[in-house]
Amino acid sequence: MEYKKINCNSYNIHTIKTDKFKTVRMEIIFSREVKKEEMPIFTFLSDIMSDSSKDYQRRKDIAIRLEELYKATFYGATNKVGNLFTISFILEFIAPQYINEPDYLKNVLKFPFEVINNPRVKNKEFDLTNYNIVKKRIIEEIESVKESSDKLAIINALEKMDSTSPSSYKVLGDKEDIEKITPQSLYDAYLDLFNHSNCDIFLIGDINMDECVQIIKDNFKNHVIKLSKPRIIVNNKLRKKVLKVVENSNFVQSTLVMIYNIKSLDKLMKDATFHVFNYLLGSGGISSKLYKNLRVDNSLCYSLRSLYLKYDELLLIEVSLDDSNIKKAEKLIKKSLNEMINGDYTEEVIKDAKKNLIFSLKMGCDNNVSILNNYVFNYFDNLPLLEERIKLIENVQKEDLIKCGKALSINTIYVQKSLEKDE
Amino acid sequence: MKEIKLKGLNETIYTDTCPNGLQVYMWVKKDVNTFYGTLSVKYGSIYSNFKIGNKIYHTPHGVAHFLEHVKFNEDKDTTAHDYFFKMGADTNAFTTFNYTNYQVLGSTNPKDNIIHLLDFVQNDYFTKNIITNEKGIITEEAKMGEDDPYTVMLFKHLDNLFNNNEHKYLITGNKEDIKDITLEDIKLVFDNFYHPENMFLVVTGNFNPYEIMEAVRENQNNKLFSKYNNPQRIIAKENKKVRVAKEELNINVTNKKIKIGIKIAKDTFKGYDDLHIRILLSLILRASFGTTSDFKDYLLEKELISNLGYINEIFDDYVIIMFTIDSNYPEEVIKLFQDKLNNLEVTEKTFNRIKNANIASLILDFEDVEVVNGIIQTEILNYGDIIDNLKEIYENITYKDIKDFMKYLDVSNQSILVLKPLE
Repeated sequence: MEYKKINCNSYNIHTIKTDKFKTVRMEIIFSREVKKEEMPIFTFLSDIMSDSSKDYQRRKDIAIRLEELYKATFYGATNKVGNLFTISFILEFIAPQYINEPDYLKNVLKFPFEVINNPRVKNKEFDLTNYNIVKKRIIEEIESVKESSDKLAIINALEKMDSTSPSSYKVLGDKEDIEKITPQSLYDAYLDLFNHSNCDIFLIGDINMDECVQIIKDNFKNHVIKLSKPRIIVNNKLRKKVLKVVENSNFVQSTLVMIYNIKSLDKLMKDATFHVFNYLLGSGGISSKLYKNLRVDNSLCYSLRSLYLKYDELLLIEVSLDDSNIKKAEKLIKKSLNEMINGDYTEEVIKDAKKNLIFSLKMGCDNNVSILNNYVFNYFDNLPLLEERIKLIENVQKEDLIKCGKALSINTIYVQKSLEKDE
Repeated sequence: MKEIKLKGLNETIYTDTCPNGLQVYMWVKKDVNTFYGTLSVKYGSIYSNFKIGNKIYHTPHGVAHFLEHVKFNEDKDTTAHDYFFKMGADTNAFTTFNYTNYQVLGSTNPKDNIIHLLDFVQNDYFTKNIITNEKGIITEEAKMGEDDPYTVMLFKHLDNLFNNNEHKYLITGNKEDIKDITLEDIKLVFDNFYHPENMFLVVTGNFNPYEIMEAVRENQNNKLFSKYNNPQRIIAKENKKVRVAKEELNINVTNKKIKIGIKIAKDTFKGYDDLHIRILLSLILRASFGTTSDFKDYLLEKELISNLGYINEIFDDYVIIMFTIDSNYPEEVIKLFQDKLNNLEVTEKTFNRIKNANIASLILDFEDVEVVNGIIQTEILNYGDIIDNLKEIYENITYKDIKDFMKYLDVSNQSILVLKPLE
């Protein structure tokens, strides 16, 4: 694997050359700091920009062109990680050596730039038909969250924790945020995207990278000087007294969400140790403490989640279960955490957990998206590369895991109560 | 060991059969870190009624899924999870209508992991206590399904399409079914269906196929199995007409949804095998209702729908086509669908474009160890063997084939379900 960063003044091209994959992936990433009011409009924008352009006026036309390019895929996406907001345009296509067509690489690589450089705009407004289609789709997506008990509970719990924290901001926003967006304001956002964002292009695959860089340079002109990279960590406030919230729902199951702050861990602990800690606690599936205490020993639930929100410095535990078992589950979660803090696990279990995490990282080395993402976060946050992370995981010690447990401080206990009382 | 060369794809599948009847299929990719082993048992949720010789057996719905859950217990104190956790590998399982699948995904010691996959699935350790404890967990899983509108919609629709066929029932069974399942049911099913002659092993990724085959053969030779009883599933007599032609339902959705199901007796397609029915139907549906179709584009532009998806399946003697549409104008959209379905048309240009895109997909499929494993499973289950000329089959399909096939496509037997938000 060979990584190169090419400075093109107003943007960087990062190339990762590997012969491991038949597909080539390119991500054009615009990045900026999270701002609550900006995320819905940029999400709308990324959607409409990948749905249409001057030459391809409808999603149908784009889809036909992608089929002609041997089933390439192209889409826009927005993402929030901690305090970093990204607006990405992603292209994936079959490597040219499998296609008997001389100009294929040039044609496929220039396609996303043709689309994003030429939005379907007239009189400084996005086309109304495209606008209406995307608006409807996004509003329905926002509303559909209410259909998912666990997603809804997690969103509400984070909002109750602190509605002013970027950790609680929603990428899609609310229905009212989308209603406020107009074809004109979308065009303003389009200009803003190019004028006030950093831009990085990541490319991974088995292709001639010099040729690709030239094609990109020929097709993408971005005149904005690069800005400094935003600080990615969100400093969530600690609470002296735990916040307890109970809300009613229409669901058959109740959902319990417990949010903990993670206090003052150094980078190594965040990048490696806490992953092992969380694996032992709950993310490691049925062999973990939470699964053992809640599912295996007490049959309280089918599945649960222990989410390490590294860049929000939060740990979030979520479980759906019968309403009558909420109190018991809360106690068992606290018991599991106490066991973690007290070091109630053998060296052998730690060794096995590390082995499992290393396996996950090795799996990541087989996937072009994981490799590319690792380079993205290596660039934004100096996240060690996969091979280096494997070594860091190998060196994690029990006393470090205990420190992770001690760094937790309960913030919020949120209960989404079921509608019906089960027999 | 036999080597099956996949024509035009430059790929090889290794295959062999153990003396006890266990079939093994392997695909090697040397440049990945992982291997993926799956053991499939040709027994799923639709096998509630079966006969051995002249004796008929009835079991509650959900036994296949229940057995999958308890199968991981190896003895009083050990589960398969414990073993794989130590090995740094990941294990899981799932149950479908027609089979149960057990998996191991790892990066080291493929031989030991694969052998243990065989050992734990073929182990007959079941106790009353295990059955009792698991009921709570599976009931919570079934309740999760009740909270998921997409699961509710799918099974309500299948229930309306079928009169007696077992595809109408929940794979987990409902809460009452789960209560009714006994240790005797589990043993009966295990003894008769979990026989090597009714299983197949698929291993994909980085490993030595000769070493794996030798170890598997040795493992199977060292185990004693009773004679295979060859249990036969009793397929309920099914009326050709759908059970319910139209129904409206209020469930936990935020926007109205329509499901249009078409039930066609398979014998309508005279002279076509299952593989060709699937391929030709997929091409027609994609051309007529996919993202590149004028019809979908029109519905989106007129803001009559926000989303449209479809699947086609063969369930026993019936071909089922299911559309799922997000629309606030059900009556109008249903009418437009009827017009479209009764006037299906595919242009030669569209046909060629979609055909070429599908051929490109075939090449890309052979990149991911999990995808390839899934492809092999599907081919064995649906066609009983590896299709070594799939690319050729696609290449040989002509526009005339599509036109001819469309003559048999009778779309009159429909079940329509309209879902509205709770009042």
